[in-house]
Amino acid sequence: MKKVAGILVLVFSTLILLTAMNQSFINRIKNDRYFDHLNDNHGPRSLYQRIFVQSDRWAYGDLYGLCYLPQYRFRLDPFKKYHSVNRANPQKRVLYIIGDSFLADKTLTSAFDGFDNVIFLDRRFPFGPIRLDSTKQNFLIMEFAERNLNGYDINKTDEIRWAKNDIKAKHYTPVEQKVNTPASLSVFNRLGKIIFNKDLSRNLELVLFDDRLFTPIKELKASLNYHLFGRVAKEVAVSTDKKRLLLNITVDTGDIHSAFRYKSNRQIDSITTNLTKAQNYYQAIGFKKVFLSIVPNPVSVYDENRMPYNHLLERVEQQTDLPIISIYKIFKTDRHNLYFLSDAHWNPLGFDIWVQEVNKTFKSDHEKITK
Amino acid sequence: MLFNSLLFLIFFLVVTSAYYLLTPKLRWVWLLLASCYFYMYFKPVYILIILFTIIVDYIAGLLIEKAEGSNKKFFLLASIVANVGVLAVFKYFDFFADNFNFLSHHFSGPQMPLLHILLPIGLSFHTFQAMSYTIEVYRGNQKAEKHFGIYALYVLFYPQMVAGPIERPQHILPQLHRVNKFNTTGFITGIFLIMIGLFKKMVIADRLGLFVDPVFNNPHSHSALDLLVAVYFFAFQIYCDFSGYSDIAVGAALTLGIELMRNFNMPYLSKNIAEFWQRWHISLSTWFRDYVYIPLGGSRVTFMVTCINILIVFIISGLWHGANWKYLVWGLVHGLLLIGYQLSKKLKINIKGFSYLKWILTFNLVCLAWIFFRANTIAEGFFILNKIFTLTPLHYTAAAIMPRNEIFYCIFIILALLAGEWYMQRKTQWSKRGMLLTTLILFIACYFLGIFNEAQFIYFQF
Repeated sequence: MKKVAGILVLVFSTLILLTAMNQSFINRIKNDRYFDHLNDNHGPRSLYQRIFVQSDRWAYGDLYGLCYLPQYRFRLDPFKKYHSVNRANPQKRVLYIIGDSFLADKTLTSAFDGFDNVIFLDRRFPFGPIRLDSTKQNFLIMEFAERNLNGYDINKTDEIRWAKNDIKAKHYTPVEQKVNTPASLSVFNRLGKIIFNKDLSRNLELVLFDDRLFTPIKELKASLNYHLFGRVAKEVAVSTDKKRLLLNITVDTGDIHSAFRYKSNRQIDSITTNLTKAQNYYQAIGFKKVFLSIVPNPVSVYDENRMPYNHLLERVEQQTDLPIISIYKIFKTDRHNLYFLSDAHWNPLGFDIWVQEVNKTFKSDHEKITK
Repeated sequence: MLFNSLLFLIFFLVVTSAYYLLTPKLRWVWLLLASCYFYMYFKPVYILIILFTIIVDYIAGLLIEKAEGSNKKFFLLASIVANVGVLAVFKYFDFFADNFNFLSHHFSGPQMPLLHILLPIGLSFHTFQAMSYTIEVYRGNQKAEKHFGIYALYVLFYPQMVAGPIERPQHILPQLHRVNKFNTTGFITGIFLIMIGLFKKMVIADRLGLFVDPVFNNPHSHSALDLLVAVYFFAFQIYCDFSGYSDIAVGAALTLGIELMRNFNMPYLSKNIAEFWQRWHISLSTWFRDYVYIPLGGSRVTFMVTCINILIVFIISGLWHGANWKYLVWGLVHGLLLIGYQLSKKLKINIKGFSYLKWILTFNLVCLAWIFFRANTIAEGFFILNKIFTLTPLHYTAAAIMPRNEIFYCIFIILALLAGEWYMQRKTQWSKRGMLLTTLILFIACYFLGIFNEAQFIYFQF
């Protein structure tokens, strides 16, 4: 009996360990879980989906998935699909957007009027040099979440490092692909990376305890700690009015991304100088015009009186020479809720305001040029 | 690999189940491979450093046993030089170079280059354990180990290689040769101890750390009361962190049928500083007693020399903890306290009774020394000390770090710990059912009240 129990424990734990060591399988699970809540298909699920994909990590917002506080368990409204006008007539205009998580996974192609194509490049993942079609007019929007302005330096981005040949060809990841492991590692190194994978504990948690089955227990733990000690997961903060969750790095003054961390004029100068450098670079490679658009942190819109606010967004917008697509004032005055309550990003209404502002800007810009 | 990680849980299940399923001849191989993986998970290449000391000490052991007279001493010295040399390069070189450069700068002298080597985890622990082997072989208390694999396992045995207990060869080597059959009571006791250790680490130490770390890292922004609370909390944080590690180590070894020595014995209930050192980090205290203090003459020499010996031992002990002046000050404070105690004994100042007062005094003196251990610099240590003794401002200003109700919870859990330990010491016999039930309760407490940030054990850095 003891021997059978021993064999079962050994087989089970070895299988779990091997699964956690297989990083590409783990990445697949993560990816499938992320897109699972967006999937409208409610038909029968495969065994793989039933074992590995059923999770509440993303279904109710990224911040809920970090803290599991049940009072912030809200379904996320889906983003609407846009239908652009004038698609039949070629405009010979292409819009590039280099942005972050606020625009990732959004259907941007049809959202903007007057463009033959819209290309989104996610700054969070490495992409190679941009090759523009010189027969068309190319426009660029540099979109930043307010928090991501801190520490931005065009010279540290992969595209510039590529241009300077700092990144060798074998490490180049085409725009369409996500990050992958460089193929140049020796067998020994690859084996080492698998066996001594530094993410093993996180992967094990993902495999063992990220299933929907554990959500009630996680919520109970989160509730207990919140009500007893006012503590939530370290990545998350609760807004002063308790209505929404916030990303802790935008609140904690110990973090460079905080909206409440003091920013000297010199630091603002540094940010705007870097933005100008980026503008010069992109114009030099052929963009006709480069726009800057900063998406406010939710905390800057709904909880800016929490501590002395550093007004980073307004100060940068005021000081920069770049043409800006500003939404901060609109967001501040709009009575609707423009961000998800349990996610660090905007909701469809917030996104739609931004799309409208982009369209307005290009329309007036086009009119100025044609006049 | 950290004991408070999910990876360790799976590792433990794989290693322990396979250990008992394998034939006895293969068990040492399996344990050795598992221990290598456990260590290499931190930084694979550092296994070569341990391998070097294992080979040196294994050969030295054989040579010492065969040699006579001065040759015997020579081989022992060679082994000690090799071990201390590894420590000197990896742990103390930059400290020495830094101080040399500081002095040299004042006299416009040359500058030494710094190595900037990441300290191999637990280096001081397994080096000391390796040294105890050659010393014991030299003294004739232990036969040289002929089996290289078993000797390697003696140094690398995963439960205790990173943060002790620092074992003696006489205690461990025979157990590694023995064929252990699965013992249900031993196994359940092991799991029970592991759970107690996890509880101490995750529920108490890491919770206290939420307050202690930000306050000690920024003492200038905190009131005297904040600092005082942080000092007392640190005393229990480091105790629960380290004794929690030891409990897990002892428990994990016990599930494999191997008994490790007890490393802590309710040290904060000591009534004098000598008693404290008989109860705190027992394996290190006895190591210094047996291999440094007694060879220096111990207390068989004049009182003055005894005092000097005590100071030498505690200064080395301070430096053993880390290549930083603050640890030396911590060791020095303890050395002076112990000399004070010896002096009071010599002068026959023996106040009978007042045991509670003696306990309170000893605990506070230990806490005073902890200030230098935890402060980021000696200057900050003195700053904290000064602020606490001037008692200004004496109001709580750290509510943003930890609300008052959590402070009271921490105090409650500390009292519960002391009561629990006192109860455990009195209750020598535990039924299997009692252990399993307590394990389950501790598991639930760990899940709901534990801090899951995989914080490293404090003593890993030494």
